[in-house]
Amino acid sequence: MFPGIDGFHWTVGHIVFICLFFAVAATILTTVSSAAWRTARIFGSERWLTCAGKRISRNCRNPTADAAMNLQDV
Amino acid sequence: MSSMALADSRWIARGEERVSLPRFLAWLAPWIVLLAIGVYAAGLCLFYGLNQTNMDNRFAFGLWIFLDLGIIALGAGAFFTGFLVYILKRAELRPILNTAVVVGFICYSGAVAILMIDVGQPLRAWFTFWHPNTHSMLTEVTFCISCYLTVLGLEYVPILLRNRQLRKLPSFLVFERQLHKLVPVLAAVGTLLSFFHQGSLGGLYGVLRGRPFAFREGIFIWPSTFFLFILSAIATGPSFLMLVVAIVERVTGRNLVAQDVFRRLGRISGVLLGVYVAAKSIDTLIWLNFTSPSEGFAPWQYYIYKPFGTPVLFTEIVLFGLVPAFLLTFPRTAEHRGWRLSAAALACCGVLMNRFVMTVQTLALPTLSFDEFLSYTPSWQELASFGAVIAYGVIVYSLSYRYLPLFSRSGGEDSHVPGH
Amino acid sequence: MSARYGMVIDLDRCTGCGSCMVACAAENNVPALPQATARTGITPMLVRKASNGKEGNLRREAFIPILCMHCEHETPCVHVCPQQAVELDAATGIVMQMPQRCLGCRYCMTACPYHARYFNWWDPAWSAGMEKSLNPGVATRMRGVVEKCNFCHVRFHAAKEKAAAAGRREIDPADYIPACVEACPTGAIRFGNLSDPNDPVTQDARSANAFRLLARIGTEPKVYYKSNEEWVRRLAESGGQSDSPTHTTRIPAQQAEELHV
Repeated sequence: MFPGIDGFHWTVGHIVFICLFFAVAATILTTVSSAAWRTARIFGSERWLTCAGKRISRNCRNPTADAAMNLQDV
Repeated sequence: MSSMALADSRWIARGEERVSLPRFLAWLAPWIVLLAIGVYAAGLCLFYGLNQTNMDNRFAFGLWIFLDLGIIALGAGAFFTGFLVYILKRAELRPILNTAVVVGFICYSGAVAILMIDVGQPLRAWFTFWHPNTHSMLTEVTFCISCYLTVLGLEYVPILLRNRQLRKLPSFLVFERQLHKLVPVLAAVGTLLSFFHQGSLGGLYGVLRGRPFAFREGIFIWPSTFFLFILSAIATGPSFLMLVVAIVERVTGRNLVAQDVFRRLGRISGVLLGVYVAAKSIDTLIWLNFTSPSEGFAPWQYYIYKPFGTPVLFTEIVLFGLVPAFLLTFPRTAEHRGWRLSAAALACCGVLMNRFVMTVQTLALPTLSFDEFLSYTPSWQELASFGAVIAYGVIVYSLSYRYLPLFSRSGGEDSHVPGH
Repeated sequence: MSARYGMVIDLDRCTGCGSCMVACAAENNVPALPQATARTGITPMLVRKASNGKEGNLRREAFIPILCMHCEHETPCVHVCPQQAVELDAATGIVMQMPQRCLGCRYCMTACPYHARYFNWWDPAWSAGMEKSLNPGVATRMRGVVEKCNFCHVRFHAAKEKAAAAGRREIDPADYIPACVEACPTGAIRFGNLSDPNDPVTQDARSANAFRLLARIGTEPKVYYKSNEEWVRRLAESGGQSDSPTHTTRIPAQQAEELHV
């Protein structure tokens, strides 16, 4: 039975189950979203925009690897 | 080199040697055929119904459920290795981590695929999420396995994105790096989920009052089989990983993992197997002397039917439990590769036998006094579907081995050196 | 006041004619599938045969109609269904199966101690013209779902409607008779409300010769059996053949003492 459906009543089992399930689902979603958001943030950074145009620049010989390695600078 | 072979070689990691494309395709060919036959058999079951199988009203669970339970138990190496590496910081097992993830993904996705064919109405699978029965072990299994398959997929993504060509895409490279940093979180979640679903798969049978052969007392809502299934899974998961890597080494003709990793996996497996055998023995004695008689079933009446006599019990606990536990922990045999792998194979047989006993033997045994002992033989459609899962596993692993850095020296950690 | 519908089946009267099985199949629109076997057919009411294990002129046999026992305590099928497609109806004590919600996982079939659940291994089909004999009040079930006896719950609804039309809250027991009870030529199957102490079925269920199958499992089935033959009563528990050393009887302890059983 589902909350809102006639005859449904909350039990301790429901509360524990739903709390656990949503905690796990939230953790997984947060993990993926966090990785995606940080990726988007790196690509939006000024340093990346600068490096992308300079393929042979000494500072940015491999702009992608550079961005990946020096995330704290972004 | 032909253009196709040239294109193929560009997908293989720089510096890694792999067999030629024609030889690789020749290796894949029989597995693809096996997969195709199995997919056809599964298609028959989906189209015509489960009358294509030899399951019936008395054997409602058959080969497929045994397969599901077995491969999920063997795939426990994935979560357990992740737990050991990321939570317990056992960095020496890192070289085997990628393989553990791939094997786990194969096992769980294969199990879910078989389940979708095994149920009578696969399109209603979402009903369990919409109308969950919080008292049912199967609800818990459904939720946990769905979540865990997602976690395994997410753990597989960084390995996939380390492919030589895929890495060239900047977004993939950066995303892989970001996801890899969060893998410990996924490993922790995976450990929690696996603990519960491995246990609940045992709980599926332990709660069956109507099947005294399987029914067990326990702690609170969890029958003893809940804990025994967890123990047996974490004990044999590392053994299965050892076997998989050993087979890959034999097929590829190269040493992929240091022997020290095998030794450690063997030691972990052996110790846990010993604990499991002790717990299982105590549980069996309690069941035989208290639980079963209290339900009106005499202890030894289960074992009067051939071929499920007491040798089955002896084989499961002693030959496939105590013996490999001893071989994996006794220094002389634990240090010897041949003994170690033999013990790992015995341990895997043990967990498969345990799952078989809990599924098939439980249903074969009579409960009502006028019941008979029943037998069941899987149909070719069931066997072919079983074969398809194995073929699927070999194909996915072969592709992963060829095109992904499963066994790079540091497990892929240094794959971001500039210039690569 | 809620009811607890149950049955008492007199095994000394059951001749094994199978009328109950036929009536059940007709009432519940069970498809006539020629390809079904003893283990794949749908028989919500199934007459089983048991013997005392002896041979020659000492051999005795009994017929035992098996149907859903509508267990009351930790009902196994209700407990295990992952999507609550089975429910113990508090108003009637009937264990209701919802085929529309059933996934077909068959876990309930594994859980049932009495093997009283049946799976639709095929699409239902009736030969040309047979559809005219279908009971319009009972929905047919699709392939891939589990079904079982529900004490002809449609007849209960009809009885309720009749009572409501007459301005009564409680149904007239004579209006609610399951098909198998109606069809039994010897009156071996008796149906009633076990909550009502005046109901003859309740009194039968408390008699010395009444027993329930596998009572020690503790699911509290609401289908009782009764027999004057001790070897039949011994069938209640596993290993109940009279020459088996592991049998137990299942009659109320007080009566057991009085009868020196």
